Amino acid sequence: MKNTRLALVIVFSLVLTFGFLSTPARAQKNQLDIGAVAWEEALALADLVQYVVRTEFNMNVNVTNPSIGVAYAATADQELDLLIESWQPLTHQAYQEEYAADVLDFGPMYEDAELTWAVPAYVPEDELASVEDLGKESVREKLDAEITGIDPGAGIMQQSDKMMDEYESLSDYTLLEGSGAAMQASLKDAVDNEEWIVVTLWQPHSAYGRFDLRNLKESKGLLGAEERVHMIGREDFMEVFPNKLSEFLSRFYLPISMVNDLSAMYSEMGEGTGARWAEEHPEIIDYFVNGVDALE
Amino acid sequence: MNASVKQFRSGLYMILALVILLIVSVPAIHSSAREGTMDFYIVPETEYLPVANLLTHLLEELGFKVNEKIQYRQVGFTKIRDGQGDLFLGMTFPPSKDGSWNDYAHEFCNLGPVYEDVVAGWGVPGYVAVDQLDSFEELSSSKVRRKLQGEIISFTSDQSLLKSSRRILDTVEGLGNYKLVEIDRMAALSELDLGTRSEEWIVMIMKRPSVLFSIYDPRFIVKLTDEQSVNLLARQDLMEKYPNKVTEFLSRFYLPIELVDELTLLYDEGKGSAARKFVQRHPELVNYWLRGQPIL
Repeated sequence: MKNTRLALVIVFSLVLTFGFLSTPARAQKNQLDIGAVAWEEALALADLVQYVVRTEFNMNVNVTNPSIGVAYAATADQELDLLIESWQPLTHQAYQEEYAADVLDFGPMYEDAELTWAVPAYVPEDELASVEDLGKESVREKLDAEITGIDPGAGIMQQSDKMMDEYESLSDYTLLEGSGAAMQASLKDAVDNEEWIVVTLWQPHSAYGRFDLRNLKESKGLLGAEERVHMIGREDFMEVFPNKLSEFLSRFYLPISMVNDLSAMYSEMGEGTGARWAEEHPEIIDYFVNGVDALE
Repeated sequence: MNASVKQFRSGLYMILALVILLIVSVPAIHSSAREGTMDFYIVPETEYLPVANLLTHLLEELGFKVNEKIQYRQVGFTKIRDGQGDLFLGMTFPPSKDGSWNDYAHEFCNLGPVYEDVVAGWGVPGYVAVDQLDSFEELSSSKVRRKLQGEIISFTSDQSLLKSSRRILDTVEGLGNYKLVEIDRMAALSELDLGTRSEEWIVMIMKRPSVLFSIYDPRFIVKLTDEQSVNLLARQDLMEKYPNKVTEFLSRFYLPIELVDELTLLYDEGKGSAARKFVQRHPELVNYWLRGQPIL
């Protein structure tokens, strides 16, 4: 008995001194805290992830909607478990530079995403087809010299800010800050009244399904090329959650056409989208959850 | 006469057109061949080679020529960061904080885990009952020591793992009479093979993934590391440099640890045929990785 106690004391002191043993099994969390920035496709994807985690892993899920900068910091500080979404390589480059070493990257959830500036298709293309065209006096008047943006921390706004500095044609314009919802409301108002408007947007986005839009040509490449959209976890994710959960998140990957469908569904029905989508695509969910067993 | 001149002239035009087509297309063929070559950096540790070999085989099926470059981690990091390499395999996550990952994390495209549940420790063959040997405390009993002939056998050349094991033997009460036996991998396997035939007890210093798991169904009695993942890393502009089908394939590529063990065994049996045999055994999974079918 004495020997046993002595052995335990020695092992414990070795763990403290050398740290050579694995961290003693931590109490595993039974709640997944997801930070999904309030962009439509991020909310739609978060709704799907939370539904699967609740139903397949029998865990509690708490979804909050911080700004992207707060979400990154909170994930690095292990206050959030999962961040949806990180756009790479350009849009969230600043956050990647600061936090990439302190988080766990589950890889792309989807690809072929892009940042855009868009106008309703009824705006004649021969008058407004490119960012350069915004410098025309007649165009500036019709737009009240305004570009309708979203929340200031968003990558699209950081890139749009650069465009405001770089393009001579934008020298008299104001980039309006707001939110994703406010931008969409402004877009709807404009379309209802056939007014001209330029919005900062991105694909995938349900606005492309709801309205007939056209992207402006951006010759300086400041909005970047196609992007990958990643899911980011806290660095110790594999220690605090069961293996099957991180395996699910590692397998989670959708073609962009499906992300478009999911976003469009979310714009119509909001919460509950994940459950409906999962019911309609059981074989995909089965693979994400169960892996190769679902295929073979 | 007139007709034959016409025929001659049209023949001449055809030859001229063919020559022009050849001149124009030769650089194009050249450039597409160059775009179709990938430099794949692999860290020279046995656990990475089978998976790298499979990835290479599948990229070749997608039409790419792959140059496997076995190089130390730092060299691979630098090459990928500088755009002189395309893919990198050989990094576990979460990484140790004293490594160089912090300097590179934001410079890579992190495609997420290709497998998880990587762990190292002391293990025993599956036939050693849990209630008889599952801890240091049980190892220290004289009955168990006799059964093990006072030996702990190393199945790895990982120096940090051996160092930790030596430290345990030196410092943990009751283990001082054990001897750490370092023999080469083939000799260790042969000893294990002989031992398991008569269900002899053996304690092994081992890592997962390993060929051991495909043959002897071992279990860990003490884990010396936390569970980790192995992520596939790529140059940041992978999507720009290669067609979308490449990143789509790499994003979908994910192996459960049991299949990594299986692949490792195939690789041990024959490097040249391992990937082909694996593809034959798991056609649905490979089809999903390459084409997104049948579930997408």
